[in-house]
Amino acid sequence: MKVGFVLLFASLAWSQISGRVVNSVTGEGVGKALVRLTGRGIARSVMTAKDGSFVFAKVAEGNYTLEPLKQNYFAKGSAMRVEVREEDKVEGLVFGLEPGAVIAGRLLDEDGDPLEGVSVTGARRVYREGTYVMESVWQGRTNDLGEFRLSGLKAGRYFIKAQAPSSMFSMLNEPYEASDGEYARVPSYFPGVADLESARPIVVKPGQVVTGMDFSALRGKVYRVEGKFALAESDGQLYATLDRIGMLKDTSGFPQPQTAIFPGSGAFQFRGIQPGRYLLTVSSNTKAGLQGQVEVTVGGADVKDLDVPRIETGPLRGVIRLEGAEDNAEQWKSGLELVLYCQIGLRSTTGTSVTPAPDGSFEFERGISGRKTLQVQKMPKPLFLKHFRLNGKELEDAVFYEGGEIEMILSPRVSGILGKVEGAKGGTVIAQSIKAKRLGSGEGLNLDAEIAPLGAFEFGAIGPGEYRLYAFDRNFEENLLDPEFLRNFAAKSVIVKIGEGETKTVTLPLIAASEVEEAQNQ
Amino acid sequence: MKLWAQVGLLGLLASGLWGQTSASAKPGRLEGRVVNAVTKEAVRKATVTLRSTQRNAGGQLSVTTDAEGKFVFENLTAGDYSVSAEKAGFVRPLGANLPIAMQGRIGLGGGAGTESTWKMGEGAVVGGVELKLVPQGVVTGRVLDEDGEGFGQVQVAVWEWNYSGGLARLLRVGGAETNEVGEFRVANLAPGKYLLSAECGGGFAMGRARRGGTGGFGGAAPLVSGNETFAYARTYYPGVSELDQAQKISLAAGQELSGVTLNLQKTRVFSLSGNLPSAQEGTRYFVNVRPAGDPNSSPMMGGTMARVQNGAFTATNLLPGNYELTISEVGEDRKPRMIAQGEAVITNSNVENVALAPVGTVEIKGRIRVEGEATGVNLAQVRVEPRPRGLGLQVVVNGGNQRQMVEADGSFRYGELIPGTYTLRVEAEKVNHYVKAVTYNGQDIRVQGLDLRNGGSVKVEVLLSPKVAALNGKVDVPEGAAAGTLVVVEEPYDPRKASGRVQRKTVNEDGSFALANLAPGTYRLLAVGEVETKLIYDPEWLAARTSETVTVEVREGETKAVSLRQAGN
Repeated sequence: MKVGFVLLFASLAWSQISGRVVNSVTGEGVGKALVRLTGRGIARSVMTAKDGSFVFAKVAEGNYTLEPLKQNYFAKGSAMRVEVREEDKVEGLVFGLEPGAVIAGRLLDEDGDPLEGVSVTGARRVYREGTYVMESVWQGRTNDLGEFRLSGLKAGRYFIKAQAPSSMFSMLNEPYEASDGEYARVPSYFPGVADLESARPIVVKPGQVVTGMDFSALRGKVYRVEGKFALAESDGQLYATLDRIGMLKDTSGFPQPQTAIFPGSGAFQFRGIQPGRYLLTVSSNTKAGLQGQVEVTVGGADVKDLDVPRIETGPLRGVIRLEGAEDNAEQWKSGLELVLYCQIGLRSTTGTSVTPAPDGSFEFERGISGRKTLQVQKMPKPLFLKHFRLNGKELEDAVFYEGGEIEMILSPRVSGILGKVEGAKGGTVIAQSIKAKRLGSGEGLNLDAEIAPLGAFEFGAIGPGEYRLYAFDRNFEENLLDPEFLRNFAAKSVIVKIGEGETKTVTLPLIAASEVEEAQNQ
Repeated sequence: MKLWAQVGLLGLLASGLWGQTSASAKPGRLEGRVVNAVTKEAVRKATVTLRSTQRNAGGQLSVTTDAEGKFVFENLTAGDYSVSAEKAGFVRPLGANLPIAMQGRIGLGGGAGTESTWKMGEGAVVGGVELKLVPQGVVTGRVLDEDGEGFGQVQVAVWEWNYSGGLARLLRVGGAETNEVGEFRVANLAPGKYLLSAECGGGFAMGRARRGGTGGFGGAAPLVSGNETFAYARTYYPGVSELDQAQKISLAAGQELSGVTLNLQKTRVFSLSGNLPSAQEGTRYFVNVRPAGDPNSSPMMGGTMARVQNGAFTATNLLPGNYELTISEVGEDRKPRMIAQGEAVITNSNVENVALAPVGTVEIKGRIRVEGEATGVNLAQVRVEPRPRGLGLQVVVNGGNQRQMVEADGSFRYGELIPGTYTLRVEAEKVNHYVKAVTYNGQDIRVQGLDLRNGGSVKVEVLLSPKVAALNGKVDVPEGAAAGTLVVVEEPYDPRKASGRVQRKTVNEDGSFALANLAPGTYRLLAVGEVETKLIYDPEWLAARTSETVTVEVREGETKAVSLRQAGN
């Protein structure tokens, strides 16, 4: 009897977690927010009371993650980790929730009548893979009154774009004939302009509701682009794609114009193309990379009889070696992968990967054309790409267009930067490469490291070169790689030059979170 | 006038059907007007689309109406066309911007077999085409939580009972998501009677959803308070969770019903769990939990899918009620097979270790016999189709084919059906007979059905009789009206019990009609003008027209004459 009692008592030795969820702008408690507790294979949620307080009763000992959730609110900072000991009380946890903003308005036609069923996108200008793009963060359709309402937006700058769905689903976007040519409803940006360069962003603060952002969807003159592509055997089904050149890349909304190339004749036709400069590319469903490419300028008249030259590329072979290693069959290659990225048009990239043979040789079977980058991934130990030679010629980075013989030499003599950030208890250090070979792994030229609680950070296993370092008092999400954004903090950055195999130690000043927020809301 | 010239060639392939008339053929012309069906006023800036109805013709033309609602299509080549109009603010089919609001067929030119609704003028000119657009109904309002605060990201759905084909089903005809302060607006509703519901999460779940949601939290864990779990249940207007207590809202053409409030109540939800009867590697198991008698789900589709892990299953967030569970397995052939079933009742606690019974399949075979001296009856033309009762959807078969043919000797067989209660639908009109009896073990099963919930093989007998009844008659058509439709209701008609049926017959131009090959029994006849097909199956619509209905009883082999007057709509 006694044993049973003790066991029962032990299982009741619960702990408790409590805290409060507050509005990060006003500091007031946020009621009816959900607080989610995960850990030990379970997930539980409680709802906050009117004053924002919450309690998890009967929590077993262990490590847990807590995060607040509420519609139209964003959690400030990352989820909180909590260690709970038996019969412990974890109290006073405070979570900040930032209220989402709203942008609302009406979409009208040229007579001021509402336009129904048009897709409206809220997009932000962000830095992605080496370039600035418009990235969609919200998408919806206008209702029967032409109304749109973008809600739950993070504070920031938004471009609003209206675009009728493609003609497969609606009549709205169809080109129509007039006495002086064809017209169509073209993608339009707030406050009623056809190009992104003259679009006006709407800036919202946390929780702000901006209404009355009415604008007109424009009609514009559009043209046809017709031409031919010289077909070859085993081309498969070919597609021609038009990408606008010289404009900010806009990945929001519907995809860029694409059309099938007729299998018999190689002929193609685009309709409803706005004036501008384009890159016309041909891709295949059976061959990797680009098959053809030509620049075309549209304006004033239809483009006819356009000949698209084929891009011919021979096979791509090579060898990868480790500097100083006599026997090239050494263990360092195990698990290593070579990934060939091939850009198609201005938007998409395809990747093909191979594993080098024991002697370090590799081959990409299909001839892959167009702009290519070759990256070394899954390196089993710290190495950096020291030389990249194509047909005997040294390249600064692994970007090339033609085919041929590649020689890649990796070096184990990696460099490092160690350091300390004055007054920091966490955050991110960014190392922006100024003069360094592109490393085999990352997507951009910037590196980031988390700052340890005592302010220490480390970049190990990097290539030699010159780096500019920034220390931020917060964890980054999207601006990390944005050089324009980083330029705001140049005065608080430190430049470090390191040689091969060298490790240097630096001390960095801290850039406060408030400075970052100010720059973000600019 | 600037919009007048907005004519464009549409479609992927530029069709040669118009614009390229050969020298010998005279170009056709079609013109007309788009009007508001209620006010008869002109509708400006409506998009009118002309499509060729000939196969492989491709392409379509669109024009916009002018300030007087007028439109014109010119340079048309000979052929069959349909024309339709659409405009924001007027009813359109759900989910498409493609318009079929009002449409008609037009024959142009002298091609063989062209039929025309409108008389052709000289030189292939069709004029005076009138397209009526019905102004949309709109419902607006707010969804509130238990504290009266706006509830964002809630799915508001508009439902309609549909009785087509003698099956009662709830159809979702419109919907919207509430904005961040709980407001919603559902537009593009045709005149009718609707049910309105609000729920968080799973807004497209059909029918009698008995599952609560926490909604808008991206799949967050359920709300737990102590040992109790809470969620928000689907709420029907005016604030009830039971479909039977839901009130219909009535919308006239162009009506905007605003200020509708729906309160979502936080209620306790429960889980159902148990062990799978078997768990083989390489086989996937699906556990479907459906409210008992749900007209919109079947044992393999449309219910709540339970989470299956390590040979056990759990379905969560369920409201109190009666449930049916079915376990299906999908093996290498990728065909789902039902392997077990069970029942459970949730009252006020989680239900564990739900008992499951293995199920075999059902086989229904039988033979058609003809009463009297059967000579020259082609029994292969008789259609026999088993229908599972209360499952709403069509026959679900384990692996096999859905429709089987009747052999020339009158034998038929449906194998590998899922367990359930079945009725047999037999159609013998093609061979000029009526179905006199469908028997199993000497008992007629047409009303109570065959209880095959535990599987099994049965042999049924279908008896046909050549002594069909007939009804002939005449409809007195009001002056100025066109002869319309005769609605024939076989009594007792109850689509929710799959008894009786409704047929639609076209009345001849002189008002005469003839109904042959009838089974003896009671029929209700109703003559109407133009009517939407979905309405004639609606018991409420029929009940509202009792005074205009003629009831007639015919005996075996009897022919009766009936006269009735065409009612207004």
